[in-house]
This record gives sequence, C-alpha cells and structure tokens, in this order.
Amino acid sequence: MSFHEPILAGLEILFSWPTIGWMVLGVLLGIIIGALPGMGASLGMAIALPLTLPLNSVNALILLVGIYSGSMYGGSIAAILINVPGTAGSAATTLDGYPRSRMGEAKNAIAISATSSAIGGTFSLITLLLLMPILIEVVLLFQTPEYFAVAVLGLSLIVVVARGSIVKGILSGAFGVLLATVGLAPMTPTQRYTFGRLQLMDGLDFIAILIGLFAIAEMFKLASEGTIAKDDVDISGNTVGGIREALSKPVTMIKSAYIGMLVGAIPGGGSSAANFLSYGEAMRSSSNPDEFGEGSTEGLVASEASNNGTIGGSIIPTISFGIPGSGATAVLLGGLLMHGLRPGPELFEAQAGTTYAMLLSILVGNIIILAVGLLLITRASYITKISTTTIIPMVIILSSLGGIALRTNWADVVTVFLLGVLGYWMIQSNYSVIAFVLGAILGPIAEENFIRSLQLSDGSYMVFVTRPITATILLMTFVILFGPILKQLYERTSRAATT
Amino acid sequence: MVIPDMEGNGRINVSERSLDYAINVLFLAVAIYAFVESLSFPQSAQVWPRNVSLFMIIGGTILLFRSYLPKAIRPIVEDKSFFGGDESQKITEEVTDDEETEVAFDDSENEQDSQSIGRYPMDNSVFTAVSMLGYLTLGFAIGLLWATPIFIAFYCWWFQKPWYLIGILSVVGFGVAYGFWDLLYLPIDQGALTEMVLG
Repeated sequence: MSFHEPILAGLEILFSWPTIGWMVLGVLLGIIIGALPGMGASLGMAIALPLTLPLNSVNALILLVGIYSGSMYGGSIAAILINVPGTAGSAATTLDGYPRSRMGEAKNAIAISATSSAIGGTFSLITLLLLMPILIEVVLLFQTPEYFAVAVLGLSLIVVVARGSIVKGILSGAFGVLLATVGLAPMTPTQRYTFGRLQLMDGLDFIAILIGLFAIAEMFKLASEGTIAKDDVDISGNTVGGIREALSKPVTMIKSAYIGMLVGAIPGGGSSAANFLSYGEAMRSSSNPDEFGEGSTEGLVASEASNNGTIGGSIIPTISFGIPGSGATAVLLGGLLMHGLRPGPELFEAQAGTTYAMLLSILVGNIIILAVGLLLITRASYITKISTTTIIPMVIILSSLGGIALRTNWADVVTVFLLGVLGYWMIQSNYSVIAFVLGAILGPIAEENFIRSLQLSDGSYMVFVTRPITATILLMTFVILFGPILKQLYERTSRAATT
Repeated sequence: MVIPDMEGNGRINVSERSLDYAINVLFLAVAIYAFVESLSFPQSAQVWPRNVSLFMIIGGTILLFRSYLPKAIRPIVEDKSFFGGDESQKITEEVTDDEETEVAFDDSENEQDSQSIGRYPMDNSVFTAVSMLGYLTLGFAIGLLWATPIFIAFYCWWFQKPWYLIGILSVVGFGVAYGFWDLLYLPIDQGALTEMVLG
C-alpha cells in the first residue's frame, strides 16, 4: 500500500455523512466540556463512551477524538476567563491568560489560545502522519512475546512518571492488573475471583472502571472543592490582534507543539507535564522572561500549542501497541476495544481507513477549534458560569446510566460507584489513578500474550530472552524500574567511600 | 490537626495519613486474598494473579512499614513526582509574585457561593457519595428511569438551587434517562421492587 492510499481512504470516510457530523459534534462537546472548570478530556470521553455503543466504530472513534481535541482547547477558556484551568493541560495557561483578561484583553488571549492550539495540534498530527510508514514497519515486527514485553514496559513507565511514590505507583498499577483478572481466565475456562456470581463471570468491564475513576472520582473531588463559577466575567479586547500576536511567535509555537508531542508519547507524561515543560522552555529561551506571568504572549502560545501537541504524541503508543499515553487515550483505547478494534498491525492494515480517518479528524477538528475560538468567544463566558453543583448530578446520572448501558449488568453500576469512591481516596492519598487504569487495561493484554508466548515456546521462559526485541524491551523495563534506585545506592556508596 | 510527615515532606493532615494507610491496608488485604485464592486455580490460570498479588504483597508491606525503612531505600516510598508536580510548582512560584498570590487567594475565598453550601453541615464529597449510593439503591428498587429526576431534584434542593432550576434539571435528567431507555432499549423502567409488586 502506498503512502497516500490510506490517507485518501481516511479522507473519504471522514468527509462522508454522518461521520463529519460526529466529528463536529465531538469537537463542540469537547470545547464545552473542557471549558467547564474541573472537567476534562478523559471525563468527557468516559461519559460519552457508553453512548457510542449504537454507533459504528469509525463514527464512535471520531466522536471520541473530537471530544479529546476540543476539550484540550476548551480548558483554556476557563483558564483565561476565571483563572481556573478547565483541564490539567491548561494549568500553565492561567499564568498569562488570566492576567491578560484582567488587562481587558480576554479576546486577544482566547484568540492566541485558539490559534496556538490549532496550529500546535496540526503540526503534531502532520508529523504523526509522516511517521506512520515507519511506525507501521516497527509494529509489524512485533509478535506475541514483544507485545507482552511492551505491555510490561508500559506498566513500568507509568509508575515512574505518575505522581506519588514509586511503590504507590507499582501498587496502584498492580491492583488494576489484579482487578482485571476477575472473571474467566484466558485460554482456560477457569473462573477467578467471581465468588460464584454469574454477574462477574465476564469480569469487571474496564469501561465501567474508567467511568468510575475518571468521572465519579472527579465529581467527588469537585464536590469537596466547592463551586468555582463566577458571574463577573468581562470579555473585551481584539480578536484579530490576538491572532497576529500568536503568529508572531512561530518558533515558540512549533517548539512547544513538539515538546507536547514528545511528552505526550511517554505513557503517563500527559498534557499537564507537557504544558509546564513547554512553558518553562519558552521562559528560558525568551528575550523577555520578565513578562512571563504578566500576560506574556509567548507564555500563552507555549502553553496552548503544547497541550494540543500532546494529542498526536499520545495517540502513537495507543494505536501501535495499546499503551495509552494519557487518561484520555486510555479511554480512547477503551473505545477501540469496545468496538472490536485491537491496537497493533490490524489498525494499520485491515482497518487503515478507520485509523487514518480518526487521525485526520483531529487535523480537520483543529479548523473547528480555530473557528469556534475566534467567532464564538463572546458566548464562552456562559459556560464558565455554570455551577459545579449543577454539573455533578448530571455527570452522576450519565455515568450510572452509561454503566448499566454497557452490558445491562448491575455489577457495572456498582463498579462505577465503588471505583469512583476508591479513585477519590487514591487521589487524596497520592496513589496514581492513571497507573491503576493502565494496570486494568494492560493487565489482560500482558497476561494473554504471556500465556500465549509460553504456549508457543512449550513453557520455556527463554522466549523472552532469546528474541532481541523482547529482550531489549524487558531490559529497558528493568532500567526504568530499578535505574533510579540503583543510581541512588551507587551515589550513596561512592559518597561514603570518599568520606 | 496536622502532624509532622515522617518522610520529611512537610506537614500533612491526620485524616489524609489515615486514608493513605487505609488504602495501603486495603490493597494488602486484597493481595493476600488474591494470592491464597490463586493457589486453587489450575497452573496456567494461577501464574499471573499469583505473581501480581505477590508483587503487591511485597510493595504493600514496604509501604506499610515505610517509617522504619533504612534511609537508602526510603526515596522509593516518598511522594515525589518524576516531573509534573514539582516542576509546575517551581514555575508557578517563579512567575507569580506575592501580591498576585494574595489576589488569587482572595478570589478563591469568594468562590464559595450559596450554591456550594448544603442545607445541613456535611462534607460535600460525602454527601455526593451518599446521595449517589441512594440514587443507585432507589434505581435498583424502582428503576433508574424514575429514580433519576428524584435524585436530581434532591441534590439540587440540598444545594439550595432555585425551584425553576430544580424543575428544569429534573426534566432534563428524566429526558436523558428516557433517551437511554428508548434508544438503547435498557430495562430501566422497572426495578426489583416494582417488578415484585407489579409482577
């Protein structure tokens, strides 16, 4: 297959009806969800996931990535207007966005944000599309033992980059893996941890786990923080001036988009880390670092270009190896699996059209982001005025109804509630929720490939050592997990030896 | 009430520390159960859960006795972020001066409006969790279709929303539940209780 063929097939799918309509709806919903303080891409996508059940796979995925992309931009609206980041990926936007609002230049700030988000996201996606042929070659080299190794690598990476201690990260991830073992074991008809209950025979639905952790836990957190709605939002300034300002910083914009893309590709890196890394780099390399925090255009550009840049980056490991780079891509992976699509070669061969349509929808979605950001910003303030105590019951009912919609099984509704409570407690105690989610997602993939590998090798564990790619990935996993500890021990020993 | 953090990360709340240990113990208990139970599975089905639960038992025990760990390995249990938290804190502190921080603090004080204060003294997150549990129980008994507007009305009443908003949100909530019932053919119009009574 040539390079342009799947792109043309993807464009054909994307611009057919009603696919294009789902994309527009997804981006608009995403912008609204992102603009609601405390909401975020993963939450919006988790709620929408069960609603995509009646849709075909391509429409469902395009709706989900539309929400992802839109909410990345939408988060900046609340950050600029009311100094509360709508999403974690817009945290750095508050530093310069809100001062601009207070200076009476909210329109400029939102225009800078929309332009940077759209261009940053576009650069990241074009790079991803250009990298696709190489990516496909790499993915095709992978077989069962390699997929096991990659799943373990994903789990190890997340415990390093997630918040909290390493042991807490490992515990959270392992607990997720353990929960995923409930139900019938792969390859053998053995019931595990079902307590003889029919409802648990098929295991816990990981989408219910995602809804509980991302939607319900967030609602409990939001309830404890109180409402953040404000009435006195004043929108003034100059939209065209904002676009010009953003375009006058092309280097910062492109650099930040690529930082976002690279950090986004690291499982657990997430848009929040990318956001601050780009902001820090822009400040370091700026000729006017004193302006940062006072409404700096460079600061705003860096923050917004980077968070939309993470989208392309985080999608790479998700579709190639089934390792999500963020909470939002964990939900996207849930969507892929729910609609019968498995990450890996299948997505680049038999389902290439669907994959490219999904990626191109992000590209086209950036145009909608730009249009909405520039034309409808005067309406944006209404969204930020909605009280969180109005949002919470609506999210709770959507999550509960979504839970029952998955399999008409009350075990899923109970999972949504219990995982919501546990997720809230975990957030409060610095246990990594993202490690937990990845454990639940990667656990079954790792187990299935582990057992299959052993079957292929007649029970010999040497299959993980003798294959060069598998051995390299497992060695990387070891270095990632134990490298920091060994380094510290070595430093202490050498320090003690010198003294 | 605050107590000194034994890992030297400043001062933390007693209830937060208790919650931390509670989750630690919960994970440990689940892992021990999973490990013991896994021994009853056939060989191929037990390898994975047995190893994972063993991993959890080791991790959970290390975390439980974190205060007694030798200094050399204490960093692995300390709440530190590889990047993200510390970095963002540093940058935020660098670009915001004291005056602005004060303004932001004043703003956050004003954020608590009447719509985030419940009718009776109860933590909002606890109320949200309890009311959700009530909603699901009621939904199981009479069907989520009917429990949905009742839950929304009660939740909004608790947070002293105006009557017109309670009405609008309840109708919207019922519409959403109706959509699920009608479009996805979900059996949420009847619950265990109504089925028993109505047959």
